[in-house]
Amino acid sequence: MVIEWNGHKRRLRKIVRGWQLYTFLLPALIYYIVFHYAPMYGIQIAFRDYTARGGIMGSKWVGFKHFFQFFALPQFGILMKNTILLSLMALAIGFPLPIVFALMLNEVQKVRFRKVVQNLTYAPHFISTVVLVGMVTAFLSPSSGIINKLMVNLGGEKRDYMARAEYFRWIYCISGIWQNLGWGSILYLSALSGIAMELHEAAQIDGATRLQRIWHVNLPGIMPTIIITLILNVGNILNIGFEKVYLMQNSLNLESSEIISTYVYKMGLQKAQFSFSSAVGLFNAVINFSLLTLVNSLSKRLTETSLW
Amino acid sequence: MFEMHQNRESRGDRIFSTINHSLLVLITLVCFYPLIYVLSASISDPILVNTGEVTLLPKGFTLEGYKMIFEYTMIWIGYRNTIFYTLTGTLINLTITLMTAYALSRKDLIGRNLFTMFFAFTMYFSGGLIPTFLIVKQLGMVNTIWSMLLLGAVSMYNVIITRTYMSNSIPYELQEAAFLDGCSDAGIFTKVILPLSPPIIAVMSLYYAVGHWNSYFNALIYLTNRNIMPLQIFLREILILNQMTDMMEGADTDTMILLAERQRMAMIMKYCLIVVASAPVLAAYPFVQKYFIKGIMIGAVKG
Amino acid sequence: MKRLCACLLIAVMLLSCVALADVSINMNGFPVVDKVMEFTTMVPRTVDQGDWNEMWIYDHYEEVTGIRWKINMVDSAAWAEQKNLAFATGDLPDAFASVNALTASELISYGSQGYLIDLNRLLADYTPHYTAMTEIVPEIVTAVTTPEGKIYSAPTVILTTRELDKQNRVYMNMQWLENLGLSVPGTTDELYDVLMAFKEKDADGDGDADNEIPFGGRFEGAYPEMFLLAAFGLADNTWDVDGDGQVLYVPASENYFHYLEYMKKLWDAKLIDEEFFSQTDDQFNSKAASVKYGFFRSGGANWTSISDPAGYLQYKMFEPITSDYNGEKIAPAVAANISYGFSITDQCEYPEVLARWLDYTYTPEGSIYTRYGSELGKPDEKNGWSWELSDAGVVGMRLTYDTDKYSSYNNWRMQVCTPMNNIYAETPVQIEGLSYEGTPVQMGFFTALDERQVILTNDIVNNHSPYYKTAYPVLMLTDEESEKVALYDTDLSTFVKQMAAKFITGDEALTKDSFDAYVKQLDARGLSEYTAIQQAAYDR
Repeated sequence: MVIEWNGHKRRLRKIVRGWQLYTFLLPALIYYIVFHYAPMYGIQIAFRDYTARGGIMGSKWVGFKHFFQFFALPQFGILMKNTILLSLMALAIGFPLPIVFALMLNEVQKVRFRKVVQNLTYAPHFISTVVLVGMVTAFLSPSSGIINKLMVNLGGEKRDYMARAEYFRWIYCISGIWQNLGWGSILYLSALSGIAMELHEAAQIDGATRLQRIWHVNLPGIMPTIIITLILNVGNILNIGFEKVYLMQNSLNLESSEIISTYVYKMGLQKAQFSFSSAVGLFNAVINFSLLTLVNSLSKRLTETSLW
Repeated sequence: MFEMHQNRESRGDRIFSTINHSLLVLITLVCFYPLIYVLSASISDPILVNTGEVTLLPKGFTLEGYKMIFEYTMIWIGYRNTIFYTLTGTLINLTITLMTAYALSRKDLIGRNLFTMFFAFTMYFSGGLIPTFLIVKQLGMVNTIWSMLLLGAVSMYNVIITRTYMSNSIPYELQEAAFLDGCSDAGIFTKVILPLSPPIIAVMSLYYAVGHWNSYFNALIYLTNRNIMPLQIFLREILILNQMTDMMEGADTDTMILLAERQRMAMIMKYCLIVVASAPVLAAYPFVQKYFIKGIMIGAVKG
Repeated sequence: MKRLCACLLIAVMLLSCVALADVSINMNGFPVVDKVMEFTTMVPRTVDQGDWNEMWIYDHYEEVTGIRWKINMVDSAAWAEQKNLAFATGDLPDAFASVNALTASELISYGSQGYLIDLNRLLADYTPHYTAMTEIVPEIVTAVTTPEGKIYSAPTVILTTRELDKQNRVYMNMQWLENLGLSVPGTTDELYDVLMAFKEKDADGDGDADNEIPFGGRFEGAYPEMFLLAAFGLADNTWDVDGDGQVLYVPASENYFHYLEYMKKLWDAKLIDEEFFSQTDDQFNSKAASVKYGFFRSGGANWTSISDPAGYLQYKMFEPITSDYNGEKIAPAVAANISYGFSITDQCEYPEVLARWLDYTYTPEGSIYTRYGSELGKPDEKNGWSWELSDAGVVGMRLTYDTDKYSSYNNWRMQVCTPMNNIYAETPVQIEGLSYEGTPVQMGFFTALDERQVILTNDIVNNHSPYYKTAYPVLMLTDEESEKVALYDTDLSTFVKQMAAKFITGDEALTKDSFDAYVKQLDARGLSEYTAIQQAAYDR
């Protein structure tokens, strides 16, 4: 008992001594409570039949009705499959490449060259989705697109790539890389610059080649950043971007391109259904969050890095 | 002996360098191509652009798109507002983010994981637009600059990344040393953490600044006073015109002619809008870049 | 204490009585009230629109009816959200006074929740001009009345012949026909031959036989679907009624199968644009503008993108065609081109006054002024135009706006003159002081800038209007019904489109059996229930 009291006392003292740290947390705390937790009661919309008259609190409680409606949709299986496959593919292809790119760029000695490369490669990030999809459609056009012209020159045949379901995911992912390679590498480049010079010097003295240095110094040095970013991205699997998919969809590639968010949007065009889309959103959030916690605990066990 | 090692690169390293450089050049060309395309398209005849005639160089030179955009006086107001929001907003963001990330990076902070979870939970679950709107309204922030500056003041994603940086790139020994020297937590923050953080501060500034620059959703919902609206709103107004033609087929002929004209305008302006919107940001990046290039000499910070 | 309360109570009651008695409404003409009254509304606004508050038409309303509008211009990009928020927070204006501000389902949903007033009584008692119009065209009433018999929105009605044509404007390049010595096709088989000729021969006379695309369009958007369906006897692309009053879903019907067969034939012969299924709107419009198409559909007449007369003059509409399965020439049309234009919210204190204002927009004078934003027959320097009625009964316009400042007449119109989004009725009634012998008013614009309008009007009137067949009427569903329908409709329409694409391209073989299987799938996805709902609504 005495030990417990001492333990508590010690903890209390620690908290009091650490008052400055808690003050540091205060602004964020206030922010989240006011703007995120206070409105949290709105989640109920998913469990009610929301009408403007009733407001959120006064609308009829229907429990899981909307969720069941969602699961009962004939498209449900396809939607889940398409969403997950698209996300996984985007992750598998799109996640490692910026890292590799950052590592490559970091090895360049000439500062000028690095600066130029960086400036030029991160620019596509600023092209709006609408224009990007327009460009992609134009390049893949059977009649006038350069990709098809190239194919024909190499002896292949013309194809309407945008109109085939099997190409959809590839087009989506590759155009994503095209757009985000430079931008995505910024974080890793900054992490790389945070690696102590002494480690590099030591490796050089030990006679390590460039590749060996990358493998043994650079990569481990930014591994925490990589892991954390990966965990956070896994937590976004069901949220895959709506706008780009919607713009790239057409009746012929719908088998691969109809994902949860586009379908719910189309339903919403018919009749604004707050409750239903809220329920779908909540479902997505629950799955995402569970995945996040899962990957987080895995990471905690396997590496030392984790969110919490 | 030292110098000899440093000056003579092994053959393997040289091959690596060559391959590395060539690959980078290739990647750069491929990645930069879209921007050249957009630039060319913005000064080309839109019909030629859309039928695929324009691949690299402009065809059918016209500055009509730019003219139309810049004649729209609200654009300048939009620029002014967005610059203000970006600068002020990023400052607020950085302050809170750095402070929060530091506190959460301290492993000896009691309740550390609790706080992290508390904040991270909000990345996934939210009450939705209507309750948030009601709260903002109650606080009297509707139609004021504060709805642009305070909503989204912190991004937990960024906090986590910053926290990771602080935990891993700044050795704990330094903090301990400072503590033993009699530094308070706040003192450690200013004397140890911040000076070693330029890379992450640079990245965060970029992320937040670009976020502010491109933001329009909050303005859409909370602002009606056009004098404080950001640039993106005005740009989107012009762009949306392009997307309405399909929906209005049932309308009467006058409306249809009008829409056809609008659509023509929007086609021309589409690419120019991108240039107008991103040019400032692209121009600003080189200034932030230098923080990524050099590594940090840890030894210089002792004491 | 008690007496004080009683006094206060009486005072309050007296005050409210005074307030009500204050407003006397002129039932027989205008102005409606003695003192100017102000009403608020919110409207979506696009970038090229000027501020409605400053437009002449609203000054005119104040002058004539004594009602002043205070308009909250909301960005059209934010319109959907702002609308929802207004309802959610209860912060509503007096009325929604612009066309299509609220969708049909919103009208029913919010109306039944009490946010919008039932306009039945108001329209019956306070708007004689509206009543007169509905006696001529009763379809108007059906279109705006909900299944429960309530009216939540007064309509904008367009009855001139040209506007009744439904999504059906197809154009053929007459120049190419002439070059090849062919005549305008009258049946689907003839159309096929013409398209083949376009493809194989050098139709545009430039020496290259391969650069013409016979059949243009965008599967996801505008293509001659309606026109071709009409050739097979179907007057709409979703719901139609057969001879016995039975509602049928067009994509499940027998003749739709034949339509698909025909399209497939065209596709296999490579007569259709190879990017038909994937091209963007921009690509399609640009090709049309480059005069690459022999036959295509365009909503905004043949000048959507072709600004060069040398280009657009080559294209003309032609009469509906028939096929082996249907011998009747059909041009899908509507009985009246109706949009939901005006709703009064429960925040309005004097709905009767507003109803009288509404009546003004249904008078011949009011409706024309609303439509065109300026006074008929009087040269108007401020507004930059004057307009007159020609001998042929057509409205002619003389423009005097500043051509440097405004890029086109429409541009000027949007900025200065009229919201072009207002409630009005374009009806075949006589305008006082001007006569045109009771023929429907052909609203057309004759200016040096817009001969295209003339061409369009003539095209439609000559080629389509003799064959107008009213497609399925606009029906309103109950709240429950529309909720169910929302679930089915997206699913069905997406599936229909998907399968149509597959059938046409040959991804899925098109046989009697596969078609039947497809229809069974439709049933499985709720078509039978949907049909039942539509039938019930139709019978009402």
